[in-house]
Amino acid sequence: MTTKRLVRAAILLAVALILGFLETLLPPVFPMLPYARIGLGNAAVLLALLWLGVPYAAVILVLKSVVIGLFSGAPTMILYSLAGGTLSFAVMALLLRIGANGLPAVSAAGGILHNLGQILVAIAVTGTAGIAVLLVYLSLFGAVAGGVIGVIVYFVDRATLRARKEDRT
Amino acid sequence: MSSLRPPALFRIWDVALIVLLLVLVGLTLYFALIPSSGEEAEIYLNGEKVATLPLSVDAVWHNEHVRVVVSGGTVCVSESDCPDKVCVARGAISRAGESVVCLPNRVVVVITGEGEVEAIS
Ligand SMILES: [Zn+2]
Repeated sequence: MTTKRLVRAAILLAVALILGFLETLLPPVFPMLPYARIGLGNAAVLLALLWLGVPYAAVILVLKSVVIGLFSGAPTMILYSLAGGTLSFAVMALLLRIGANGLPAVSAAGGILHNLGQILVAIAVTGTAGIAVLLVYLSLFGAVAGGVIGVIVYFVDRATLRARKEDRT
Repeated sequence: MSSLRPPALFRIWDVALIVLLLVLVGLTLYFALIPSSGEEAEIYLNGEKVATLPLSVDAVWHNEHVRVVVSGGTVCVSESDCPDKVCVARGAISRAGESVVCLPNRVVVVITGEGEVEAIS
């Protein structure tokens, strides 16, 4: 079954890259919220967590952040997106393992942590605590965007349930 | 496969997240609705304050990467060579606590003044 999982991982990586690139092409969602990320690519990472487990999903997360950072013309942004991505990934993996939350809530928590991680690195890099107010706005934004993505991922998971059951036999 | 519970739309612990969301909404409204006009724009480069410009005096500060303009009581990053242009898209700000950030160039412009929010730093 390893081949099948590798193929799935490759497909999810491709989806993560496409969604991630798409997001870098979009103009900033809210001008007053610098560096707020919808985290479209996070949908693929969340699916990978559900279907393939932590190791595969972690590889997809790192490759996604590095490749998109290199090609979007701002390699310094890799640091920010990796910081956000890793925090978000850790909390989503943990919440899924505990199993006491719905998928939208798991994804919303991921969205909050992703934006938090990014802005914390930004505060560290710029050495400016004055932008800490952004934490509040970015958390709220991350929660809403993450929640919506969680709902979408839930329905993608359900829609593919039968196909995934069939090919396991 | 992993031993995860099947995904659900809602489970009981989601209530905790909803409470957190309400707090965030409250804080956002609190910060957004306080009418607090700023007095000075502080410009930070790599975490060091490199300029303090009173908003009442039109002025320009620039280095080789960014151009910060104070005009009519507001301040904005008018030009930047960064690839994402997030800072330019931010537009003009004028209220205490607001900021413009350019991560690629490590420039931060923060407005200080009476209503400055110091609680969370
Ligand atoms: Zn910029």
